Amino acid sequence: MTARETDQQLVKRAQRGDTRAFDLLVLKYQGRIAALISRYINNSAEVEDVAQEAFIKAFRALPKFRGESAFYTWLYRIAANAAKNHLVARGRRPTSDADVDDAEYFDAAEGLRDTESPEDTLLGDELADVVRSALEDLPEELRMALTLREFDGLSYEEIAEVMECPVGTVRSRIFRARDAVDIRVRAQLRGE
Amino acid sequence: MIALCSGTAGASCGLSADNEQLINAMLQAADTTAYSGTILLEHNSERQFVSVNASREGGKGSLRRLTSRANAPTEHFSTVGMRTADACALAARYGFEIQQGQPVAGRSTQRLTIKPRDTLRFGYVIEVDDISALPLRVITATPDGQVLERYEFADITIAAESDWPTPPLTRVPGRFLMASLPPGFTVVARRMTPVETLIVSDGFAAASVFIEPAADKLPDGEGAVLHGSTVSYTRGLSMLGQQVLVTVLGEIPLTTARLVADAVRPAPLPGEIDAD
Amino acid sequence: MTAADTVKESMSAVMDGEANEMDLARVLRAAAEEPSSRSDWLRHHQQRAALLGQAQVKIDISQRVQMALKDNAKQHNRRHPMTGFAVAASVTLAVVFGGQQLLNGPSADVFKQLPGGVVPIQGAAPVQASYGAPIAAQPMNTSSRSAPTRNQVLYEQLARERFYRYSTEHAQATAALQPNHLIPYARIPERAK
Repeated sequence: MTARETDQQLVKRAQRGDTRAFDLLVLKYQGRIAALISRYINNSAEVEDVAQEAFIKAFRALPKFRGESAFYTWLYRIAANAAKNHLVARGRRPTSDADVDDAEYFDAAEGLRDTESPEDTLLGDELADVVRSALEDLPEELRMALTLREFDGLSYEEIAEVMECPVGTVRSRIFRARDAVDIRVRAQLRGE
Repeated sequence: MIALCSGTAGASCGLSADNEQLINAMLQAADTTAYSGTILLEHNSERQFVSVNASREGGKGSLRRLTSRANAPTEHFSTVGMRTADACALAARYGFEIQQGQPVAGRSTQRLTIKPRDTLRFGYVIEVDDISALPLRVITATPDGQVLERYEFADITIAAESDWPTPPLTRVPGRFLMASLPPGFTVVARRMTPVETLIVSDGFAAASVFIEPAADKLPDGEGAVLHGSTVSYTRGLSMLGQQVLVTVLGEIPLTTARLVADAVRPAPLPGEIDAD
Repeated sequence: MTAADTVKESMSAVMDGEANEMDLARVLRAAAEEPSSRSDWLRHHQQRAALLGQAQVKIDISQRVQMALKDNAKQHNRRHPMTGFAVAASVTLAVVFGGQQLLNGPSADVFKQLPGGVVPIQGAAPVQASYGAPIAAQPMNTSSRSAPTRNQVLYEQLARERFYRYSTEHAQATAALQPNHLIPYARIPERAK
């Protein structure tokens, strides 16, 4: 099972104009696309803007997407180009615009400092640690099913062969493994 | 109390006498009924149980959030009502239908469906208590039927009727007034703290309009957030030679909030009363 | 297995590209109707990316993207005589926070049998379209731009901040007008108190 195949169902739907399917693709890839754009652009608000622009460009270009590459590879190229174009456009801005200092601009609105700033936290090692430890604590049959899927990239049918059980059982075990990991991660991150 | 509709006969506004009576009874029930119970309120992804006691004494009620953190403090609310429209006046803006309702908290009800006649207000489905006419379950929805908020009594004990006083409408002079509000809406009260606040209502839906000075550097603009049936719409603009921030906070559609903000004007003379 | 588990199992299969059409339809419906399902989907992918060591930033622009796609071609501006800045007739800049959920209960047919049709007034129709769908920051005056300007971000934050700041005052000011005086108080968000 490749990444290409996992997106195929959603991409096909999105190509027929199903924005709900595209929404799931956005939810799936926005964190990684934003990480990519962050390599070009420092400001978190601009990262969000460029990420949004990239997804909208991608949606419009979907009919031209033939599936020769994985959807993510294709999206990655669009996002990288959007980030570069943003930098170029910014370089050409009149200085008066560029000089507007963000902090001063936002301070002009009294009371704003009490509000949350856009989240730009890097989801890094901490989440990875919690997820890994949750995975390790799973019952053997759940952990094995999810590991074969995520790290070895096996299809449900292949996992069924390895684990000598029906495909339906594999599907159910992977779902239960994900659910258990999720519950543990949420509890742990909330408890901090 | 301002009686905006002088019509007393049901025929003048197309409502049957029975319907008119039920709607008017429902509008006033909370002003004259003492009760205690538990309410479930759902909006957005939130769901909370609130224990409530609306006693007769001093026109005050108390509530406590049961799903909030442990030992949530008791909060107080005023049980004194102010009606700015009756059934007949509301009939110009809303359509009504009454049928047999579902029991709520073990009490039999009549279902009052209130459908807006335009898209400037929400609609409501209300299960009205057969005996006290208290609204026991209220669903707020967009004109096309999308549910934004629901509350209902999980349990309720209703005491005998009481007779609470109706507060006089305060009309203090302010620096701002409302010109050409959306159809059906009028200014019903004004408060001066913490900032100048005009309260507008169509007799059923209500919004508060907060007007406050803003920093000179604040650029003109507008923005809004939605939470359940509540909209918070904020606009920055220049008025009276200074930057002003107008916030419309209410259970009304966003377009209506924007039109309400459009209507804010500086009062030409100190002490001028609303021109709507 | 509960109905929620059925959705989650289908979602897990969609994540793996192992879903049948029924799974896919179930997940798409759940994601459109239940904010919790969207969150589940988002978290599962964050966790997967973390597990595989893929770099990611915590961000959620999905509602903005949805809204931009929906409204892109529908911008009609009108100029307000007093404020001097163009006010789009369609709904802009509205953000649902805390997740939006259409509660169970009567849906589209709630108001069907009532007398009198609903008359859209002054660009109100887009409001109808917006409620019940994810709403995100929108460009105000232009149809070509998809990213909100800093002005829009600023005002969205102001509107949110005012919502918390004035909720209690709003409840006090309007409780007397409501059929149930308690409800405006119950609506006050925890954070505002």
